[in-house]
Amino acid sequence: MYDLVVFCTRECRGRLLVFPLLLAGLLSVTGFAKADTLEIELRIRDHLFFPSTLEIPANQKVKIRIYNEDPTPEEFESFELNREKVIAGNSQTVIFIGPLKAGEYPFFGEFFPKTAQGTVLVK
Amino acid sequence: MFFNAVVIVLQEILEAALMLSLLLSFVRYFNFINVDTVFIQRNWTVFSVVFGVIFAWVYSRNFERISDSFDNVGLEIANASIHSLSCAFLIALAWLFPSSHSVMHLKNRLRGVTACMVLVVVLAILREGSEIIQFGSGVLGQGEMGLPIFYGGLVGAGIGVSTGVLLYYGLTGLSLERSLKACVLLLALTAGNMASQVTLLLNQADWLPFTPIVWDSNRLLVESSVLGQLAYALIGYEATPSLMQVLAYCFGLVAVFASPISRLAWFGYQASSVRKNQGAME
Repeated sequence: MYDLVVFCTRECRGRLLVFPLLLAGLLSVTGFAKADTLEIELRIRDHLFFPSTLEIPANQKVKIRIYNEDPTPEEFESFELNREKVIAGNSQTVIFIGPLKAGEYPFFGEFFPKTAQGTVLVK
Repeated sequence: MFFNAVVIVLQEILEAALMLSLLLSFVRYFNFINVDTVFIQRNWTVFSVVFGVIFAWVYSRNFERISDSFDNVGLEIANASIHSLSCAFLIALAWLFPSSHSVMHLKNRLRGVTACMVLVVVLAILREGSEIIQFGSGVLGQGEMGLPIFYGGLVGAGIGVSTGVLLYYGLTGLSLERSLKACVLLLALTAGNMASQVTLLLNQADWLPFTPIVWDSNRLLVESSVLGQLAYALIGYEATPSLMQVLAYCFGLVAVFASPISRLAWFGYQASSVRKNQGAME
């Protein structure tokens, strides 16, 4: 670790600093404006999602609060939403999605994919 | 349940195995440019795998506590931290890698490189291993179908490790110059992948703002397909990446391609000595 620090400070002479600065600049351009967030609930019971279809408005950021009522863990996963998160058994968690364009975005529980299937319907 | 366990364990093992293979092929290059490789301990892989597994176990023991922190997005924050550290160590590895015999403080540089490799592998196993433990302990705790899951996991791990071995022999089977190019390219893509995952996770936690989806390449390669998943594990393929993910990926690429080792790989100002060593080996 010490060698790493020495190398970064002596030999790179701050060249690597350029990248974080660029990223910071980009962030300030896009802004941290937090749009109104809609909160909805999703429950996992007997390896099924309730409700299995989540209807949300288009172009709106949504906070999904997931309650896993099963004793087993589950992984909320969706390729279309680019989301993936493990939820321990008998616990709750939060996933943010959107703003999304109108359409259908399927999701599934990776640990029990046969039964745990659902869709986010954006209107 | 058997097939399910195969898929889950395979997905997780694959990423760690591919990472380890890539770093191991790099070590081979070391042996060519430096006669004295005492500082690259042969047992660094064993060391990092053992520590990776220990950390993965500790992580999954504290899973719920981590998950509940930061208003229920603690998991994203922890994983984003792990990914950004991996990215930083991969970039440091590229910059520390000695590109000629005459590098100053060679001993320290080699120690630094070993430290980076160990840390990258430990983080990869921590990341992927903790999910396997979560799945395994959660499902086995139910006392249902223990054996099919165990065998499924074993098969998944077997396929994952075999793919890693295949990549290793693929990389080391190439000529030295090509192998170095391939290694640097994969290193850059992996660093890009890690950086892009950081933005994705922070976006999922609502710590980073939404940025539009740049393209949809599902027509070219479906992300959920076997090939798509392999591309995801190896280079972080994403069919619908956001603008910020693409920019972060580019950052990882540039940071590795700007390093001396990539200059050596493509412009080879020291290519002659490499050839000489290769000749000596054959």
